[in-house]
Amino acid sequence: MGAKRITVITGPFGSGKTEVAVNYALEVNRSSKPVGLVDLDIVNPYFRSRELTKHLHEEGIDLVSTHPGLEMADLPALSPRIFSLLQNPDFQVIFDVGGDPVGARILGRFQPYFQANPYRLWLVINPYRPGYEDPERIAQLAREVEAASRLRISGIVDNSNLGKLTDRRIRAEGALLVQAAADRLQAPIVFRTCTNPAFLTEEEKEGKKKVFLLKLFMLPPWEKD
Amino acid sequence: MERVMMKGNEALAEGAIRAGCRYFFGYPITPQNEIPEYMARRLPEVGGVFLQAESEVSAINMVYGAGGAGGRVLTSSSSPGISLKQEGISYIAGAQVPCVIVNVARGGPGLGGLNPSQSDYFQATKGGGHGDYRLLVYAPGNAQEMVDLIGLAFDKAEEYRNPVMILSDAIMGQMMEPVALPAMRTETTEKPWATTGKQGRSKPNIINSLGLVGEDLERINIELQAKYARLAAAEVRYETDGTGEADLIVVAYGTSSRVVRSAINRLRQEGKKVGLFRPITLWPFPKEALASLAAEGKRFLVVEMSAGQLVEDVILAVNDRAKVSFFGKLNGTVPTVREVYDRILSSLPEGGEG
Repeated sequence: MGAKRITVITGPFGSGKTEVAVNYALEVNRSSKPVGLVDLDIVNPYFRSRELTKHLHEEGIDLVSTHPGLEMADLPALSPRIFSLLQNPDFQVIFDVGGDPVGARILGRFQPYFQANPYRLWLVINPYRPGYEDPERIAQLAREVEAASRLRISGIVDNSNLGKLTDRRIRAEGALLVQAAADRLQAPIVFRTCTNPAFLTEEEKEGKKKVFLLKLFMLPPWEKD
Repeated sequence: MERVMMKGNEALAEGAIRAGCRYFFGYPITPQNEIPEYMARRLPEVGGVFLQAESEVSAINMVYGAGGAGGRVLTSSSSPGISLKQEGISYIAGAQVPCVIVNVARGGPGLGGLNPSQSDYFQATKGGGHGDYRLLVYAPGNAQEMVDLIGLAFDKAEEYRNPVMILSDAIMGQMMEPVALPAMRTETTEKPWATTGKQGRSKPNIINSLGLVGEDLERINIELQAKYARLAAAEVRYETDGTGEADLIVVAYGTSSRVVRSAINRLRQEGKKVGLFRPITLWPFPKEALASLAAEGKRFLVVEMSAGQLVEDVILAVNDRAKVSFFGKLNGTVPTVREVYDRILSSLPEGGEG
């Protein structure tokens, strides 16, 4: 999935960007080390990658989040370790950025690093979230995220899903909407996510379309042991 | 698209809009902020009014005013904010004004923390404010019930002219699930009591909760109690799963009930006879249903995210006819499936206990 050192993963509130960011960090970590994952969500403290600190650390991924002990604080407080990751050219850095243009605004603070380093900005879209079934609304959001972050979107991640009700039809219908938005934005689809190999299309199985199999980590307590 | 993925808080807010709610007054607090945020965007689209008040106390009194004038009105907050609203809730109950109040509960007491908790059960069901009053209290167990119960809450609030509370928590509000949304409702209920001008009548409508003369206040209270009795007789809701054949029945609501269900499914695969009893109305409490299960000789285990609040109602309902065990989690933590599984196992008759 390319060799740019910085990957910024963003998307509307509840689009699934944290699942994508965590899975992508684990994927990159298999081939290229070291990997730093920056949890930059200043919007909401629930269902965050910071809940996975221990697991990611065991996998060798450096998770940078809020200062330990302040994970559930209401105030957004950024760790200075973000700068050390950005300044270390050996690190692959993945940013998990909070929802909507409000969350993307924080990226402006790191503007000098984005100017000096090649980066990618991916917009995660689940068209089954209310409002995002409309390709024009997705395009509008993309423009707002770009304005707030002062970065350019380089690709769209199609995260079409209806949770437990996801199936082949749900993915196929979602893909049409996300593709329409991508066409409007003239941005490529980076990949489509899938949580169950049984729901893959023939093209995806043959490798003609890019798909990224997700293992879900952000589970509610009743879906964990 | 027939179904969408929504967080519990968003589902509740959209459910309110589709049930005809056109007024929201509130003040920010985590973990319910998605509700006012959603309403701030959505209410102007449907010709409604969103107003962020200067405090919870102001917000609840705005609810009192809007409800008194016949509006479908909502406020939401989280535990400490709900405490601030209690005086207003008592006034609203006393004045018999319909409205819906949402508590997306967090850990307490005091400022507490942002984690989910069920330690506001007493406050919701036993008063909270002063005086002999009752709220109809619904406890949704999934995102779909957020939509369904908020719609029902508005209807019941108007039917009984009584405040209705939705008791949710941080996990119920933040988790995302597929929901089917109902069509937008446009019908309105007749409210001949509302303060919308005399409109040719000789007497003005007055909304207040004052009973200066002792006999007046007694009459008001007798009326209220008669209403609560009708409500208690007609509005009990609960869900049972496998209680008929069960050796042990686990009683839980909201987030706890989800964890309990997972643990029960695991135990059933191992041939254990365990049932779930989930109160959907916390007041009126489904005491008759529990009493008949107790009479059949069932044992009970109550699981809740508190030091033991729901368990008191279960003990009252079974009235010494059955053994009631308790498993509670404190500090705003959610029990794990494993913990509940182990606890059920040790509470089963063949587990060696009792």
